[in-house]
This record gives sequence, C-alpha cells and structure tokens, in this order.
Amino acid sequence: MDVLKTENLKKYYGNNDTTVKALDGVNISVSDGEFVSIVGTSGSGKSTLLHMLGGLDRPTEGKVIVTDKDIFSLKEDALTIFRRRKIGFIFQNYNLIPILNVYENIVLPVELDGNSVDNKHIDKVINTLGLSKKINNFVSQLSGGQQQRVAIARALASKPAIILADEPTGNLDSKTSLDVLGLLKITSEKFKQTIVMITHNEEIAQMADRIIHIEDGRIVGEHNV
Amino acid sequence: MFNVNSKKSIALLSKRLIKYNKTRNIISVIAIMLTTILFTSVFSITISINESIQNSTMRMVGTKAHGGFKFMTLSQYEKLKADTKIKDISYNIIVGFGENPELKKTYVEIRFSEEKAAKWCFNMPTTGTLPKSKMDIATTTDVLDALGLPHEIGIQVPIEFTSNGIKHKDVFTLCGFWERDIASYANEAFVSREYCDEVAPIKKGESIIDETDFSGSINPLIWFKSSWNIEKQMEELKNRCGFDNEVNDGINWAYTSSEVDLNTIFLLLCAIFLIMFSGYLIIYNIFYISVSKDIRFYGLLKTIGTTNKQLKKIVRRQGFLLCLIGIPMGLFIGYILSFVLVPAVLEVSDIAENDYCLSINPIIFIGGGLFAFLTVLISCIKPCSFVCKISPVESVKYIENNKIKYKRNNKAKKNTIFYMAFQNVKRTPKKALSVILSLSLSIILLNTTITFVNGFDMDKYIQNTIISDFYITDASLINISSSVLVYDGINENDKKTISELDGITEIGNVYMKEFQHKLNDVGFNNAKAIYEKYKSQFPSVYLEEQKRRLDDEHIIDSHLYGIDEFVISKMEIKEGNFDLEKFKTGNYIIVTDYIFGDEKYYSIGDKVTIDYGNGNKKEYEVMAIGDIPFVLGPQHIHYFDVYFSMYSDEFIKQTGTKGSMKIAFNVEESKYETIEKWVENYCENINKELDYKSRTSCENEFKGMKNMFLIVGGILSFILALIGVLNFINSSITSVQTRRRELAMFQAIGMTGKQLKGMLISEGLCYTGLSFIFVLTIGNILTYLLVNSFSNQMWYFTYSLNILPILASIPVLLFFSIVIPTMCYNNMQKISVVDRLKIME
Repeated sequence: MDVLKTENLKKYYGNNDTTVKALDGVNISVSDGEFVSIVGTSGSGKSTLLHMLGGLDRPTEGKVIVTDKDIFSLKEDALTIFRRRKIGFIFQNYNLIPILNVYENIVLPVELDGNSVDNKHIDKVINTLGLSKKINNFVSQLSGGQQQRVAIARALASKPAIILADEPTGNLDSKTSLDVLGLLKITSEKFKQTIVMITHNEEIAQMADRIIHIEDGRIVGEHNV
Repeated sequence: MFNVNSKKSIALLSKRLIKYNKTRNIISVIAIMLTTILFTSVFSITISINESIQNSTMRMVGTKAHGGFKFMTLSQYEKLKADTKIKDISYNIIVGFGENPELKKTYVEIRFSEEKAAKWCFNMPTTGTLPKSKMDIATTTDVLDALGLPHEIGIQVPIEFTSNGIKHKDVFTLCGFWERDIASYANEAFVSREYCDEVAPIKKGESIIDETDFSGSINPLIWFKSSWNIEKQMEELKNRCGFDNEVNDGINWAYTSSEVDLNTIFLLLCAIFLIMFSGYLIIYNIFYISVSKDIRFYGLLKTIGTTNKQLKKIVRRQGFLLCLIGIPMGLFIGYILSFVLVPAVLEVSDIAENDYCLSINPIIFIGGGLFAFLTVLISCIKPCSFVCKISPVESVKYIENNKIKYKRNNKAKKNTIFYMAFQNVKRTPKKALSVILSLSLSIILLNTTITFVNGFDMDKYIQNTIISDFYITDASLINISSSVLVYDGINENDKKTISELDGITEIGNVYMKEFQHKLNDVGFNNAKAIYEKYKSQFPSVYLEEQKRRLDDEHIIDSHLYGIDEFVISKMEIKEGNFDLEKFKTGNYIIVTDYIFGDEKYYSIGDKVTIDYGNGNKKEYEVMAIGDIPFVLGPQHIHYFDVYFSMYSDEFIKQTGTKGSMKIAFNVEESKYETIEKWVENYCENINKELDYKSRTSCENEFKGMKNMFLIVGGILSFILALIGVLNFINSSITSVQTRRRELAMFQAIGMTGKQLKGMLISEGLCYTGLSFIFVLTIGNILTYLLVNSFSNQMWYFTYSLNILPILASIPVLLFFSIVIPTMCYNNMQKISVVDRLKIME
C-alpha cells in the first residue's frame, strides 16, 4: 500500500521570462514501512521536494497524497494539524527547541495535539535511541549526534505515517553519521516506520531500501538496494 | 482530556520563553506598569472630581438619599414604607421653626429625626448624641452662637416656636451639637419623639389638607436599589403607591446632574487614547522585536505542527504573564500618585475646596487595569499575525529586514559611518517609527502643557476677574455650584461697616433685579430682528419659550442694575455721551446692545418705560449704549436678555431693594494687607453668607490654575518620557543583540571598535534627530491644535509659539542616545569577535 504518492508535482519560481523549475512533474510513491532515499546534487530540487512532501510549502501544480489524503486540499491550520499527526521531520541542523529539555522536546508534538503521551511507546523510542540518561538535559548540553538522536525520537513520538529526513547527517562527522543512520535503519525496521531521506551522498543513500535519483527537478531513475 | 495537554505545553513554552528573555521582561513589565500608572491616575482624577462634585452637590441638596417626599401623613408614609422595591427609608417630622428674637437671622428648623435620616442629611452631632429624653435637644453651633450659649452638653436651650397654631416656649437640655455644613441653608434642631408627639402629633388622614401648617407632617427619605434613572424610579414608586400630584416629591439631583459633561468625556477619551497609543507603541515594539528575534523558534514550532492559533496563544500568554506583574504594580503606584494629582486638580476648582475626596471607587482600579490589559492585547495583535504569516521554511532563513542597501553616493563617502547608521535605522522602519513616535509624544505633551500655561495672561485674567482691589458679594455668586443665587446679599449694615473702613479710597455698589421687560414697538421690532438673526445659536429648550413670550406678550427677560458713582466710572460705554449729572437725576438709563453682536434693542434718545411690577412704572430716556464690567455683574450670560443700568438712588427708590449685589472698593496700598485680613474675617465670621475676591486672591487663583496644569501635564509628560526612553533603550539593546554576528563581521573586515561605537551612537542620534524633526514640524502643528481647542473658552489665553521645551529636551535625549549605545557596545565587546562570528542563527 502506498503511504505517500505525488502526482505530477511542479514548483516554479519567478515570472515567465525567468522561470526556475525547481520541480517539474515529479511522480513518486512510497509504500508502508519502506525506507527510501532521494539522492541529488545541490540545486537538483530535492529540498524543495521534501518541503512539498511535508506540506511546508505549496506546489505550483500537482498533488501530494499522504495516506490517501491530498494534503494541499487542506486549509493552513488543518494542514498544520495533519502535519503534526502524520509527518515527522528530521533536519540537518536538528532544529530542537532550545528552551525545552530532551524529554519535553520529544513529547512536544504529541502534547501540542492535545493527546496524552503514550509513555510505553516513548520509553521504547528513548531506549532504542540510547537517550534514557539524557532526558532531563537541555539541548545545548548535547553533542551533535545526540541532538540528532533527540530529533529522531521527536519525529517518532507521534507515530507519524512518514518521517521526512533532510540531510540528517549533514552536520555530523562520518563516525557519528554512521551511528545515526544505523539508528534510523533500526527504527525503520523496529517501528515499521516509513522514512523518506534526502541526501546528496550516494554512500549514505545506500542504507535505504530503495534509492530515487533526482536531477533538475525531475526523477531520473530509481532502484532497489 | 483532549485539550489539557495542549494547554499544558503551550503554558510550558510561554513560561520558558519568559524565562529566557529576561531583559525584555524587565522592560515590558516597566512599560506595562507605566501605562497602568497613567491610566490609574487619569481615572482617579476624573472619578475623584466627579465624586467631589457629587458630594458637594449632595450637601447643597441637604441629603445623600436618592429622593424624598415632603409633608406626608402617616398613612402616606406607611404606603411608602410597605413598598418592596425601595432599598431603605427613614424620615423626620416637622415640629416648627425657631422664633426666638435672637434667631431672626438664623433659620432654624425644629424636627424629630430618625438617626438614619439625620445621618443621610449630614446632621449628626459630632459631640454628644441625638435626643434620648423628652426634653433633649441637639442642634448646630450656629444656633447656639445666635442664642449666645456656650458649646457645652447639658446647658439649657430656650426655644420658641409655633406648632398647630399654638405658640410654644420651652427650655431644652443640649444633648448634642455639630457645625452646620456651609453648603446647607438651614440649621436643624432635633427634639425627641416623645416631645414631638406631644406638641406636633403626626398628621393622620389621606393627605394634608391645611397647606399652611406642616407641623406633624412626615418627610420621608428614600434609597432606591440603584441610582440609575432616579426620575423614572420615583415616578414608578408614586404610581405603585397611588400618589398623584398631591404629594410633594423630589429627587436628589446630585445623582442626575453629576453625569459628566461632553467636554470632560472628550478630554478623558483624548487622555485614554494618548496613553493607549503610547503604551501600544512600546509594548508592540517590545513584542515585535522579541518575536522577530525568536522567529526561527516560532517557525520551528510551526514545522513540527503548532497551529497559528497555538502560536498566537504562546505570544499572548507571555504578554499576560507580564501583565500579572506590571499591572498590579502600576495600579499601586498610580494610586499613590493620585494623592498628588487629585488635590492639585481639585484645589483649583471652586466645586469642592473643602471636601475633595480621593476616590476609592473600584472603577479606578478595574478601569486602569482593564485598559492597560487591553493595551497589551492590542499591542500583541501585530506580533501575533507576524508570527502566523511567516512560513516555516522562510523562518529558518529570516533575518530582520535584510533589504539593506548601501547606495553609492558621493556625499555618503564623506561620512560613511553616519550613512551606514542611517541605513540601519531605515532597515527596520516599523521599529524606528515606534521609537520616534514614542519619544516625540512626551515632548509634544510637555510642549503643549508649557505653551498652554505660558499662554495664560495674568494681566488679562486679573483685569477681567476683578477691576477693583476688592469686591464683596453673596457667596452664591462666587461659588459656581450654587443653586439659589442671591442678588441682594449685602445688607445695609454690611454696606455701612465696609464704607467706614479706614483706608478706602473709592467704593461703590451694584444693585440688581431680574424682571421681565415689556418692549415698546421700537424695542419689539429690534428684539424680533435680533431673535431671528441669532436664534440658531440659542439652545432649543430656550428658543420656544422666548419666541412665545416675545410674539404673544412682547416680553423679554431683562436685568436692571442700580449703580453708584464708583461703578459708573468703570462703565463700558459703547456709544453715546455719558453725562453723570444728568444720569444722577434718575431720568436716564443706559442699555446694552445684543450681547453676541452689535444690534441694539433701543437707540440713544428712545423713551423706555420700565414697569417694576410693584405698582411703580416710569419712563426713561436712553442716554447711552453700554454695560457695567462683566466682573461687577452677576457673572453669567443669558442669550437674549437686555440689561438696563440706572443710578442707584433711583433703583432703590423704585424697587425698594436695599441690599446690594456687589460692593467694590479700592484701598490705600499701605492698608491693603490689613483690609484684606479684615475682609477675610468679616466674610468668614461676621456675615457668613458673604464671600469676597481680592487682587491677591485672583493672583493666587491664577497661579494655582497654572500650577495645576504644570503638575498634571508635567507628571504625565514625565511618565510618557520614561516610556519613550524605555522604548529607545529596548530597541538599542535588541538591535545590537540581534546583529551581534553582523557587527562582528564588520569588525572582522576592518572596522575599528571606535568606528563601530560611532556607528551605534550615530544610530541613536538618528532616532533623536528624527524625533526632533517630527516634534518641530508635525508636533508643533499638533500642539497648536491642541492648545487652541483647550483654550478657546479661556479669554485670558494668548497663544504664542514656544519651542523652548523642545530645545530643552535635546540635551536629555542626546545624553541617552550616546550613553545607551555605548553601554550596549561595551557589553558586546565582552565577547570576542571570533566567538561572535561563530554564533549560528
């Protein structure tokens, strides 16, 4: 079953004369529990695609369908709510809330949704990511790798349909990168979590089940690992 | 369960944000506090004045009860008492009026009064009690003085009076006394119920039939459940009790007439708007700067699924939390400040010099707090929508208006630092505007206050307020809130005593009578023409009646003055030759023309017949067109009346009026002080009905008024100035903080510390400079408009452009615009350039 699907997704910037086609008719689909890498060079449109997939930006044309729902048919606030329930994000620069501690950061999306925290699930996530000793620390007291693990935990907390990871190891050294990717892979399997990761690094992309290549805003190929 | 957690996390986020923004919090709390102080003082002044007016009106009315009836029988009273819709009722019973020869001048009402009624009528003994035994009596010190008795409990008080046609002469024992309120007309003497029942038993029957003797009639006093629309409540009460027009009822107009007039409401609204605006400028600026600083944080929250509604809540909640500290502090300090402001304002007004009260009405605090809260709420609107508008993707990249353009420009080369500073100020136009307006407001208000006060022309004021060293008149003509005006308050004895004073150089009386003048044909035609020309300016209530009387009966209201020689010498003759000898024959009169124009009722040489209404009637020739000086008249203006002046002897002969309205006199300079003391003592102790104005009392009044405006305007501008400076401080600190990395970059590429400091100071100077440009241009226009609209009722005002206060505030602002950026710079320098460069957004 496809959890995520795009239909002829286009994003154009600028006017007629100077149109920049960031995305030019992208059609991809990701099935439940799959770990997919989207690989492309800088400027290929992969970040734009990720923003579209996460409903952070609106396309010029086309659809993004998450769990059978055309997300851009939703109004702004409804989209926000949809996002916090169905999509988890992991960013290159972690983007944790500096004024909250680790635990508070992890459960924030769940609490913002007005739900009570599923402590069993959260504990499992925290243990899997090896954060159990750090939950009362503030973000600034953590190393980069630790911060990214908190970000992964936060993304997992609300049991989203998909996790979107934007160059999750971009700011990490190679050893830590491998650790983080390993954890991502483990969680994907353990929690049957659909993950879409974008990266410019072919090697890192190899961790996924499937690799999609993007170039100049178009899908130029894909293959299973 | 559903929303609890979301609320919890929003509360957590707001709380943590508060914790991490210490400088901002301190500044916001001070800003909210200052705004609350301003609101509290304005409310406190307004409400205190209003209550003081109400209070003094009540004392004049003689009671604080909402309403009352007069001369009722027992059965009428019982009907009233049984009514369920009234809140409280009490009564007194009339026994008679004091008839001792010693009490001829002191009006004494002898009654039995319930304790409640006595309290409601300000007639409770301050020493002793109300009567307990049969022959007890409680009365005012005035009565005791008139009877020549000491103020001692237990002394014997003989009282004579007539009740039910029988003359009584009894000796009572004094059980209590108090000082008669100056505002009240009559003195009370309270007797016991037992005595009252014996000499003036309560009237029975449906209503009082004999309307000449009210002994034994009941005067009930009533409180309704609210003072809202007492007239209607009274009507309804009368209907319920089945009273028709036979009852004599009255409502306490202290509750109805004290509704604030439009002018006051307008002023109040202006003040509220000004405060709100100034509060808005700073609180908005603080929050706007704060959210744009934290914009990445808000964007992040948005990315992980915080809705706009929740984001707004987070921003607003911070505002509310700060209000929790700022508002109570402001209410407290504001109220303390009212202890200075309220007396300053009230001292000047005649209304309540003896009984001003600093109101503790909860509206002051509720209003002050609510408006301050509202200001914070409004101030949050824009920052909230700013947070909502920004997209999560953009927020990550957001830098406070990055559209900085350093244009290539030949002039700029010479002064690059200043040019850059100016560009930096331009870069955040909203912030700049808020700081500039904030700083300007206080200077404009200060300038307005000082221009206003400087425009008061003391000579003009004194000339128009008093034209002789002294004048003495009935107190009701000086106390503007008097309901009954007495035009013949200076009796023959007063006149004689005053004229025999040592050191008087000139003296003269003005007598006056109001009457209806029957116009002759010439007069009618002129008056009709005047009426038609000016009727649009008359109040409509007045119009109908004037028209009816003029058309049907050829009558207009008029005032007749009788004047002595000294006053004649001060006459303002507009037309014609004045011949004193002819005037003194009593066959000539001087007539006014229309008060707001030049149209004449009668011309020189016209024959005018005056009917005195007492059988006397005489024809006079118009000698000249003119009037006595305003200050020597009754000092009120009628729309349509004609005023005649004649020689005083003739006036007395025809009207039989012996008491004069005003007596004016000049004295030898060396005796001035002695005479002033004498006059003061005379009006305070000998004939208490009189009051006086002297040259010095006018000067003091004038100075007092000037001081009031200076104190109130000065304190308000000072607080506004604090707000302005605070806004400036906040902007400076945050602008350095948010640009730490950028400024480090400047230093990294070769800008020296001195240059950087210069740039920051130049930014401060830009704010100051722009503020002054604003104040000198638009500010001066505003001042002119404000001053003019406030002063158009004040004839003693002369406008002159005044920029001295503006110039005087330059050094103050310069000081801040140099010191604050310097401090920010020094603080920033504590972190090395390298470390600052590393700061990631």
